[in-house]
Amino acid sequence: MIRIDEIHIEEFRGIRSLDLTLTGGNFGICGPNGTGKSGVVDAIEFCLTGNITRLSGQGQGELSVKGHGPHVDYRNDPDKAQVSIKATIPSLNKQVTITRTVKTPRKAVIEPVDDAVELIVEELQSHPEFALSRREIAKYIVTPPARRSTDVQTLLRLDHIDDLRKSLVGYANRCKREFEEAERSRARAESELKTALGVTALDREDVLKKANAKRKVLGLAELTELTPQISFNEGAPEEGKADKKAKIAKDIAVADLDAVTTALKNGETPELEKHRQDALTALNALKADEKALSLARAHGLITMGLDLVSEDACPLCDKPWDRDELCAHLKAKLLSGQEIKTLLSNLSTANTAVIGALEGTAAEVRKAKDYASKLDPAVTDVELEEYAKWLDGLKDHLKAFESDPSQIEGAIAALESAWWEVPEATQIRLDEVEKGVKALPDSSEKDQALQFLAVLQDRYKRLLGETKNAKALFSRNAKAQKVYEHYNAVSNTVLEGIYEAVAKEFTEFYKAINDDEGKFIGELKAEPAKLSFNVDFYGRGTFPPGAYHSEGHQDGMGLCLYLALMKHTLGDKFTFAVLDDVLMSVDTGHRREVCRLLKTKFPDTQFVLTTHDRVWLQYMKTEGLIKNGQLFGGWHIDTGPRIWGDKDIWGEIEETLTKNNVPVAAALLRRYLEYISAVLADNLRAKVDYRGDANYDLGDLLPTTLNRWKDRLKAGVKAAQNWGQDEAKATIEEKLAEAEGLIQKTDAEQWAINKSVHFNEWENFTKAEFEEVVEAFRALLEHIRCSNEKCGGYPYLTPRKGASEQLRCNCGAINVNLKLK
Amino acid sequence: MSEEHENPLSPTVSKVLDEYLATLEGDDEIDNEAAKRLDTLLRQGKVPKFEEIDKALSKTKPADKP
Repeated sequence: MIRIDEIHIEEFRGIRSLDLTLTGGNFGICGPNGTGKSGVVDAIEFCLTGNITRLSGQGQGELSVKGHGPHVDYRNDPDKAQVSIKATIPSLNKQVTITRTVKTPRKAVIEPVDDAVELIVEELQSHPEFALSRREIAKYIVTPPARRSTDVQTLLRLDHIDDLRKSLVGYANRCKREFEEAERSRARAESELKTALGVTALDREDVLKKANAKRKVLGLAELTELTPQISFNEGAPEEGKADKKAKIAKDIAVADLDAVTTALKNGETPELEKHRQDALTALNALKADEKALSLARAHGLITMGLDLVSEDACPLCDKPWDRDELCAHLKAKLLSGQEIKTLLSNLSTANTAVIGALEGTAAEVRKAKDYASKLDPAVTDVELEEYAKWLDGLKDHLKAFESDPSQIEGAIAALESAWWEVPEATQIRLDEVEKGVKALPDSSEKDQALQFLAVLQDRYKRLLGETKNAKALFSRNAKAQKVYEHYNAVSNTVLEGIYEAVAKEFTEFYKAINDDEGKFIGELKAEPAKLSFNVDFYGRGTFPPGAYHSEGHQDGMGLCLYLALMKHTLGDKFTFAVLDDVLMSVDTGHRREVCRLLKTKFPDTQFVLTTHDRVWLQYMKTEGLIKNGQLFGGWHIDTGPRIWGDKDIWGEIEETLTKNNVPVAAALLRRYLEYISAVLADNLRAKVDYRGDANYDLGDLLPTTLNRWKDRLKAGVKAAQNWGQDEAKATIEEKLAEAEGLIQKTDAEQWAINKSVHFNEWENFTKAEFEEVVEAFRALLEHIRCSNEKCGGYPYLTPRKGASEQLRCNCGAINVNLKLK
Repeated sequence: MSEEHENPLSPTVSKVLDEYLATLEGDDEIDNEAAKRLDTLLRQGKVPKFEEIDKALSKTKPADKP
C-alpha cells in the first residue's frame, strides 16, 4: 500500500483546481456540508481505483464515473478531469506519481513504473474499502446478518471463497445427479436381463447354467466362466437378416411384455405417491412464496407489515385481527432462507424418485414399441412413442426445475399430471403388441435356443456397460462429495478463526474508546449464509448493535469493526485509509479516545479524515493525530471549494498581530486557551467548580488546571522519592520548577486578584504587551505537551477513575509514576 | 464479473487453499496429482467451470501402448 504525499485535482466533481500537501502524514479536512470535502475523497478513490463508489454503488443506476465524474462544465470533455497523487510506497521505499483521467478511468499512468509498483497499484484497485464513509459504516453494524455476511466477506476479500464453494457444490450436485441417472439405467438393464433369464435375482452360476442349457440344445460346448468378454452364442450359426422379424424370441418377448403390463398396471406405488405428494406440496409452498414476491413485492410488504402490527387490526385495512394471530398469519407467508434450504433438499429427494419412475415407464413403453416394429405385420407405434416422449417431457420439466428453481410451473404441472395412467390409444397399441407377440408361432427348440442366447448376449453386454458407467460415476460422485465436504470444512474453520480474531480485535478497539463498558464483548458468528454480530450491553447479555446502543456508539462500533477487519485483511499493508465524516456522531466524551486509538494502534497507517466540525479537527490536532489540515469555507460552481490553510494557532495570532489587530488576536488566544484548558482539565482531572450549564470560561478552567499540573508533578516527585529513584526525582523537580516559572509569567494565577492582568483586559493591551502574553502561554503549553515530535500530545492521568497512578502521554515520553510503594 | 477476470488471491483465500490442499493430500481416496491439479485450478483467481473441475479430478495417465 501507499502513503499520500500530494494530491492534485483538476475539473473533477465540484473541484476546479486544488492542491493538497499531506506529506505522508495523517491529514484533516474540515468544512461545512457542501464545501467540497467529499470531492477530495472521491478524487483519492478515483485516482487509486478508477472508480467512485458514490456514483457506482447501490441505487446509483443512472450515475456513472464517465458521465458525472468531471466538473459539470467539463462533462463532455472527460480528458480534462484528472487527479494526480504523489505517493510513497513504504514497502518499496519509492515515490511514484499516479495520474488518472475520467476519459480513461481504467488506465492509471504511473511514473516511474516497474512491475513491483504496478502490483501495488493493482492491489489498491482491489481494495476500494480503504475509503469509508459514514453511510458505509452502517453496513457493518445495523445491516441484516445475511447482508453483513456479504459485506464483510467483500471487505475481507472472502467473496472468492464463497464463489469457489458454489462452484464445488455445483460440481458435486451434478455428479450426484448423473450418478443417480446412471444407476437407474443400470437397474433397468439388470431388470431386463432378469426378465430374459426368468429369474428374480442375478447369480453368476444361474446365468451360466441357463446359457449352457440352451447351448446344449445347439450342440455347443459348455461355457465354464462368466467373463466380461463372454460370447453366449459363440459357435452358433449367424441369424439371417431376412427372417429377423420372425426371430423375435417369443418367450422372452412375452415375459418382457408381461413386465411392461405389470409395471403400467401397478401405476403409482404408495411410496412413489408419497414422494410425488411431498414434491408437490413443497413446490406449491415455493410457488406461493414466489408469487408473493412478484405480487407487489409482497415479501417486503409482509415483512414491513409485521413491523407495523402494533394493535389488534390489520395495519393496512384496519380489519380487526388478533395481534398475535395476525403476526403468525404474516410469518406463515414468509419462507426463511433455512426453511427454503431444507425444503429444496427434501424436494430433490422426492423429485429424484419421480424422475426415476418416469424414466422407467418410458423405457417400458419403448420396449413394447420395439416389439411393435418387429412384428409382421408391424403394429403402429406412433401412440407408444408419443406417450414415451410425453413422459420424457415431464422428466425434463422436473430436471429443469432442479437447475433453475424459477421453472416451477412446469415442475408442478408434471407432478399434477397422472402420468402413470396410460392413455387409451396407447393402451390399445400395447394390447395389439401383446396380442401380436402371443400370436407368433412357437419356434423350434433350436431357434428358441438361438434367440435366447442372442438376447442374453445383448442384455448382458448392456448390463456390463451400464454397470461400468454407473461405477465410474459412483466413484466420481464419491470424490466430488469429498472434495466439496473438505472444502466446506476447511473454509469454515479458516473463516471461524478469522471471525474470532476480528471479534477479539474489535472488542479491544471498542473498549479502548469506551472505557465505561469494561466487560464489553463483541461476537461475530458465521452461520449458514449469514454473519451474526452481537455485542454486550453493560453485562446484561449480547444483542445486535442496533438493539440498545446509541447511534454514536454504533458509529464507534462500525469504525472499530472496520479497523479490525482491515488490520486482519491487510496487516502491515494497511498504510492508508480515508474516513469520510465517519467520526461525526462519536460523542465528545469519546473523541479523544478515538484519536488515541487511531494514533496508537495504527501508527503506520495514514488517515485522511474529513469532518464538518472544527472542534473535532482541533481535537485531532491536540491529540497529535493530525499535524496538517485543510479548511474548506465555501463553494461556488465556477470556482470550486474556497479554502484556506489550517494554520497553527500561534501563526494565526502572529499574523493578526502584524496587522496590529490586538483585539482579534486576544480573542483568538482566549478561544484557544479555553479549548486547551478544557482538554487539560479533563486530562489532568482538575477540580473545577461544577456548572450545571457546563459553560466554563477561561477563568474557571485555567488557574485550577495549572495548579493541578503542578500538584501532579509534586506527586511525581514524592513517588520518585518513595521508590528511591533519585534521577527521576531530579528530572521531575526540574520540570516542576520550570512549570512554576512559566505559569508565573502568564499571570494566570493573578487573574482572580489583579484585574489589570485579567484576560478580559488583553484587548486593551498594546501590541508589545500582548506579544509577551502570547509568548508566555506558548512557552507554557510547549512545556506541558510532549516534546517528541511524533507524539506532541498533552499528558493525561491513568486510570481515568480512582487514584491516579501515572501521568503520561501517548508515546510514553512523558511517564511520571504517581503510585507510592 | 469475477468469473471473467483473473484476480490476485487475497491472503485469506490463499490460506484456505493451502489448508485445503493439505486436507486433500491427506485423504487416501484422492490421489495427490488430482489434488494438485485442483489446487492449481482454484488458484487461478477465477471461478472454475464444471468441465474444468472434472478434468482436474479425473485426468488419468495415458494408457499404455497395446
